[in-house]
Amino acid sequence: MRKFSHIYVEKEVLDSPLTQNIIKKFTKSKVVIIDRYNEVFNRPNQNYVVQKDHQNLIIAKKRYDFIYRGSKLCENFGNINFYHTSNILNCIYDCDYCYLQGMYPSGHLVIFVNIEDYFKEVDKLTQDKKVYLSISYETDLLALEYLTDFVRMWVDYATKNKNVTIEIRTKSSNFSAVYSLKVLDNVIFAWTLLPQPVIDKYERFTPSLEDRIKSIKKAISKGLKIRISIEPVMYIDDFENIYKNFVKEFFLKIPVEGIKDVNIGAFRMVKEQAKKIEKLKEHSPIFCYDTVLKGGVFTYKDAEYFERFVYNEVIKYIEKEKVYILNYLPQN
Amino acid sequence: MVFIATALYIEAKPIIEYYDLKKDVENRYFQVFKNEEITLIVTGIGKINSSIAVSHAATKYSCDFDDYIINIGICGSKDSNDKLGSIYLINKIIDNETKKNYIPDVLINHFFEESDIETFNYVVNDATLMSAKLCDMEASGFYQAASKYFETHRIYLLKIVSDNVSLSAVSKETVYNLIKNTIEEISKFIEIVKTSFKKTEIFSPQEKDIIDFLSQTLKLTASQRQIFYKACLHYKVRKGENITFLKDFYDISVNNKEERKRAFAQILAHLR
Repeated sequence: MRKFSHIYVEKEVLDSPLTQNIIKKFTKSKVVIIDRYNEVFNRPNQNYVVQKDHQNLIIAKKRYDFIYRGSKLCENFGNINFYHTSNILNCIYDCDYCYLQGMYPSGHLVIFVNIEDYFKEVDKLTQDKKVYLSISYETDLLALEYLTDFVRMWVDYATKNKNVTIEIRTKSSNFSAVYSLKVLDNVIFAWTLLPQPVIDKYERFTPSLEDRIKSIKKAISKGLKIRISIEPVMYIDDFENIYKNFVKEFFLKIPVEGIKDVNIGAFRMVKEQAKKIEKLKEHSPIFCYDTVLKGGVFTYKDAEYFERFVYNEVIKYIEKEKVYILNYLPQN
Repeated sequence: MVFIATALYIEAKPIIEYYDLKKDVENRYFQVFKNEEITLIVTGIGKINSSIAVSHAATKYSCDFDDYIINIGICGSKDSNDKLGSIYLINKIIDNETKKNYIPDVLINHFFEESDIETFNYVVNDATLMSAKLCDMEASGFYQAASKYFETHRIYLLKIVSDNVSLSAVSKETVYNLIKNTIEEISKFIEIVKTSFKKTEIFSPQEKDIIDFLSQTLKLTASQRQIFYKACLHYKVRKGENITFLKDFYDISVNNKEERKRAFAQILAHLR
């Protein structure tokens, strides 16, 4: 983990125990007090790529817009009331395909420390309905657990609110940080996995496949049923052999009984974000293979083949009923 | 190019001497001193003067995407223990008039102490008026103008303490000496800034020559040149191999649109 040379803290949350706890961990960082996080995060003329390489931290209070409707480009696993929320903006990893690159004006990390306000909003939302809430789409919460304790707090919250099912998606190898937590039916841990050559090519700073698998094993040994998310399926030379071996290796190491379900989705992104990312990262490998625009979605020309190929490999090892395949790719 | 803005000529003088900058005698509006790597502009006192001069320098001398700009000048400090001549890199600017904050993006490893600074419209003689440790009369105007033309991590402010909040007591000679005494550190800092964000070039100079040569030989249109460049780039990223094999096409010659179309398609086929 790279250290933050500067930590920008909103005056209003400076005395929060969580803020103080984070600051204590970075004794060499320069702490700069600010009024509002957008003084740093929304400055004009920032360079996302340079900031990712020298990432700094902003600690702030979230004041509005706590919860969002899930995007049609995300798998909803059959849930109608599908929402996402984020205590943290941006990620410590730097994946070439990540939609966050085109989303925010800054590459710095923002941690909103007023988690209780999120819980109040979820209370309101779940008053009269069951809600599926992903809490780790705009960051990797588990990777930052040593700083924030947010996963533990969300799991504690889920023990009290049975109307919410939360999904914690991660690439982290850090499951031991939450090993002591209760196993709950309404909390789903989901690991995003891709073959190691794909990780090497597209996912800077993320843990290796082997380390993620170790974390998954720990989670299963605790009695959790975990979700495997093979997405975005990225193209690579020798695609078929690489993905075939990856799926085989994975199911050799992980017992099927420990897997709740698997979802598969090819790389896709709304075209405006893809344009921004290509401008930011001209050298990114994702733009070097055959891509197309289908109904405003930027994806691989052979996206459906890639998805279908991986799906056919996966169902050799696990029941079809447990495998979700993305079906939102427009048909041209 | 590194742009430097100072409020006073006496602040600029040691920098002009150190870098052997020559006056741009054609500039009718501002005092500007230059060499191949540095353009220094004397802005005048106050945030409005500073922002006008920065805008002038950035446009008149065509600042580029990978240029930097640094505001160098004296400041007051409310800390009575602060030694005169202490130099600070600014990490936060407060505009005393509007109460707005401006936050420079400090992304480099450097050796200076950092501080906040408050920009006033007048000379501050009373430290209790200050909410920041340092005060000056330009920083907020400089930063607002600079951030229109330069990316946030390419804007820096170096401030040298000249007094403990009583600007009237500082002589021209003192100002000159304060900057002169820190010029070595400033110059080291400029070197760090210049080398910190160097982009890795994907193409070697030889490969760039090949792309240029073939673009000219084939008389490619602007959009064809772009397609050709991208095809070369994608080939290199995808395969991890260089594009020197394109030299095999050096003998190709085209005399009309049809021939160009055929030759271009032939080359692209090798890159895809």
